[in-house]
Amino acid sequence: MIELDAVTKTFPGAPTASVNAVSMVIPEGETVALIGPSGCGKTTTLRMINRLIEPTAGRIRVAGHDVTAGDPVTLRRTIGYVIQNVGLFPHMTVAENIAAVPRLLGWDAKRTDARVDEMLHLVGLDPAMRTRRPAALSGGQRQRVGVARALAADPPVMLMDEPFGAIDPIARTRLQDEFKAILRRVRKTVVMVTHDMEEALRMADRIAIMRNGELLQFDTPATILTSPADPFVDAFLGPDRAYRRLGLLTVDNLMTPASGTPGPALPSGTTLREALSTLITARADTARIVAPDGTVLGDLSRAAILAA
Amino acid sequence: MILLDALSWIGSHPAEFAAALQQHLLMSAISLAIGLLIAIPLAVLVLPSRLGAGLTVGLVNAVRTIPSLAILAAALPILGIGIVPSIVALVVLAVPPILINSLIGLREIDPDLIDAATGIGMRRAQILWRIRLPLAAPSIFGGIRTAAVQVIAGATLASFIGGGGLGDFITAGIALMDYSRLLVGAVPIALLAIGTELGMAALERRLFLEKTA
Repeated sequence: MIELDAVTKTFPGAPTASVNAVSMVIPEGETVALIGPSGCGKTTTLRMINRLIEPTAGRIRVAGHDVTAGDPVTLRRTIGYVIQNVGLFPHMTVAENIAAVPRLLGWDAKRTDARVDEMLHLVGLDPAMRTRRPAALSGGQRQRVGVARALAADPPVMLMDEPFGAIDPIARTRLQDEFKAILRRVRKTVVMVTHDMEEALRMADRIAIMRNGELLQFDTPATILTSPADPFVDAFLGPDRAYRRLGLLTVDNLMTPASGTPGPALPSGTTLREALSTLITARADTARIVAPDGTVLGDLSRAAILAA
Repeated sequence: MILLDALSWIGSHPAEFAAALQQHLLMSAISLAIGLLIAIPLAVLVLPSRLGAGLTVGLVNAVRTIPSLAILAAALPILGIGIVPSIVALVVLAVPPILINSLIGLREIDPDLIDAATGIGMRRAQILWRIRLPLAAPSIFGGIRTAAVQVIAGATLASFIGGGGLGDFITAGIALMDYSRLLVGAVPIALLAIGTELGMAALERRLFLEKTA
């Protein structure tokens, strides 16, 4: 659990606070996305959690411990850190990069080695990659190594600063889904900074929308989409927020018993957004929801989606 | 013809030639080593402060414009004659390229890497030893290469203040108007300088080129 209690940061010489009395509680195991226009204070907020930036006022607690007490370096070794440009050390191999924090913590070679293999497996990289250098990897592979490095010492908390910013859009969606599954599996509390609403909706359990250093709304994606706290949040979500909300719900929520009506087949787990798109494209009123083995589970009507 | 005369002189005075060559190499090696020990720690020391680094580079560049002979002349009244003032002058020659290249190498590291290293919990010293120095190594090595060539060529001047080395044959050759004697000093010095340049360039490729690929 991460608690921010009236956290403020005023940089020397700045007329106003970059982060102004921001409070939020991030429950254990949840992923929170900090989002807002550039200069809103989202990155500053993130960097205060591992004390890359020292807060001017307020308290930050990770698992009940005040992060401002004690040695910042020791603190950082217990918090995973992933940045946009990955920051892999180019003169080290993939294995050496992943082993960076275990080495700082003084793990023996055997334990570190076993952990490197475990991490490569977790992020879906071939063990043969161990001896490669970062320059020989694709952008997606590098970011996987970046996440493996952050997870290597099994920190309870992960901080990710625009982790998918350098990934091409096609690989990005897949990587987002994969990372979300990985982070859920290892039960990490994650704070990520993004400027991409789609990414926030896809990855986060809660979204914190910031502007000019203020926290405007901190809520679940569904609540933010249905009831934006103020006109800025509304505008920030864009005119298609209702449509985006459909991206959070799946066909399984609205399924009715199969009636045998012909229509396009949609796999179980499809979002309502994709389902609506398919129905419009197929000029159909009803879709059939099918299980992975092909059996029909039920029907979904266009009207049901519009009423959702 | 003169070249053959020079060779035959070497053939008839092997001990004298070997002693001068040894003195030349020893003087160069010691100067380069001291230069390294001053330049790299100094670069690390002034690195955190932009002002300090700027002042150091300015000072070093100013010192660099002083001709080596003038430094020798200035060292003479303080340190007397012999190998010690020669080494002092050669160290002054060796420090600037190593210092400037080290500073550039240490400074031009991607700030994201330093951010990542700090963020995962490395201390300043760990960032220096594990990240900055290894990544700056090619640049530092380039500085050492330049310094080595300059020191080997510069060691010729040591002869003027009794430092010995291959320069002795040149000064003797000039004094005696004996061009073959002059070449006994000049040709080996040129070969040493070129050899050092080529040898270190090859070493540099072996050490650093395949690593970045």
